[in-house]
This record gives sequence, C-alpha cells and structure tokens, in this order.
Amino acid sequence: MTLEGFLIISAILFCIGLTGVVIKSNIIAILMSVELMLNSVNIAAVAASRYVPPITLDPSQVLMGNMFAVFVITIAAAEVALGLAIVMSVYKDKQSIFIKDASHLKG
Amino acid sequence: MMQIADIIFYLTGLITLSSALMVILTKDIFRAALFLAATFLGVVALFILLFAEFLAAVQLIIYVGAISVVIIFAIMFTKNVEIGNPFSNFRITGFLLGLFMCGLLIISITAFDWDTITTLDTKEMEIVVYAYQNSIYYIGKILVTNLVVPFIASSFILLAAVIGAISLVKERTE
Repeated sequence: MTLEGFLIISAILFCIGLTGVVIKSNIIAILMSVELMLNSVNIAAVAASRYVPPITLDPSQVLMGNMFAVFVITIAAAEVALGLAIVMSVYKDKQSIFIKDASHLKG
Repeated sequence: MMQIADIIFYLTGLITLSSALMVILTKDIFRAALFLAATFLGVVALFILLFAEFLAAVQLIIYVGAISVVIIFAIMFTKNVEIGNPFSNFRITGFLLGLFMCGLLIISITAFDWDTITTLDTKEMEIVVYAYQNSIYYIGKILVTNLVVPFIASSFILLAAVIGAISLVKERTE
C-alpha cells in the first residue's frame, strides 16, 4: 500500500476508460467510460495528497488533493446530467442511441 | 509477512479493475451499468484506505447513489438494452491505444523513485496526521477561504447544468 500502488491502479483504470471511449458505439457507454476516467484521476489526486508531504507546514495545505477530488466530483455530476439530457434529446429525434446515427452536425 | 491492509488493498484494486474491465467488455448495457456501480464502490474502498472519509461519503452519495441511478434511468428510457453495448469500428485501434497508454504510464510510474518525495520527517508526519484527523473541519475551512472562487464558480456550473438539462429534455410546445 504505497503511493506507487495507488498510482498504478489509477493508471490502469484511466486506460480502461480511454479504451472504452474509443471502442464503444453507444453514447451511454461512452459516458460511463468518461466516468471511469474521472474516478481514476480522483484516486491519483487523493493518493498524492495522502503521501506527499506539504510544502508549507499548514494543515489546510495537506488536504488540497482532496479538494481537487471534490471539485472533480461536482463537475462530473454536472457533466453526466447534461450528457444524459443530450442522449435523451438525440433519442427523441432519431430513435437511436448509437453514435453512427448522431450525425446531425455533419451537414 | 504481508500486512492485513496490503491484502485489503490488493483485493480492492483487483475488484475495482476487473469490474471496470467488465464495463467495457460486457454486451448487455444494463449489466455494464451495474458493474459501473461496483467500480464506484471499489473506489469508495480505496478512498477509505487513503483515510479520506469525507470523500468516501461524497463518492458513495453522489456516484453510487445518484449518477448510477441516473444512468440506469437513461438506459431504461431508451431501447436496445440487450444488444445495446456493441463495439465500434475502432475496436482494434482502441485496444492498441489502451494497451500502449497503459504500458507507457506503468513504465513511467515504476521508473521514478517515489521514496525520494514521499518520506516524511516527524514534523511533517505530525501535521499530516493532524490534518487527516480533522479533515472535515479543514475541508470546510478551505472551501470558504482559499478556494471560495472555484466554489462559487462550480455552483454556477451546477445551476447552468440543471437549466440546460431541463431545457434539453422538455417537450416543445408551440
């Protein structure tokens, strides 16, 4: 249980999410892969804040990595709400949730 | 002799990574959503191992409680659940890209000697332990002093997301 172990778990989780974004053809599955990537970044930030000593000897500087994760979770909640609203809008229009049908902007 | 915390750490990492792999490999999109919830639970366990209890609670409430449920609702509102998770045309490219990035990241992580920056002297150790024992107090204090501008900005982002989501899905009445 070292910083290296947590960073390796975070790296593998990030690559699984990256692979999922590329290989999936369902918009909801792509959003789920993006969530995996955001979670892996949270793990890395929290692990770094736990193991790397602060520059100044101020207790509130120790928890800056945790604050990173709090803001990432906030943005992830907003992102998934908007993303699924767009998915529902595309589904109402085309009766499909696959990316090959969502080509409105292609012209 | 392995410590019990190490065993729990390896087990948690294994569960997290294997359910994350099942999210992108399983055919049924509903099962993929359930595996995603399992991944979030594994991340909660990792946060608890890192002494970040506040973040573990937040992760449990927001990700497992809210985001998984919203994703499952979106899946049930749309059709094609059983065949809903096929691969796209970039399957080979995607797997190669993922393996390449994974190898690159793991090589660069293991090449660095992390002991040079993670060794704490007793004074630093005292402060880290003190901050983590009072983590809720310090997180609240940072949120309204140092990081008050990002805090207000993220509240505006949430407001904009709520309004945007409502205006995207509401019925158009002429």
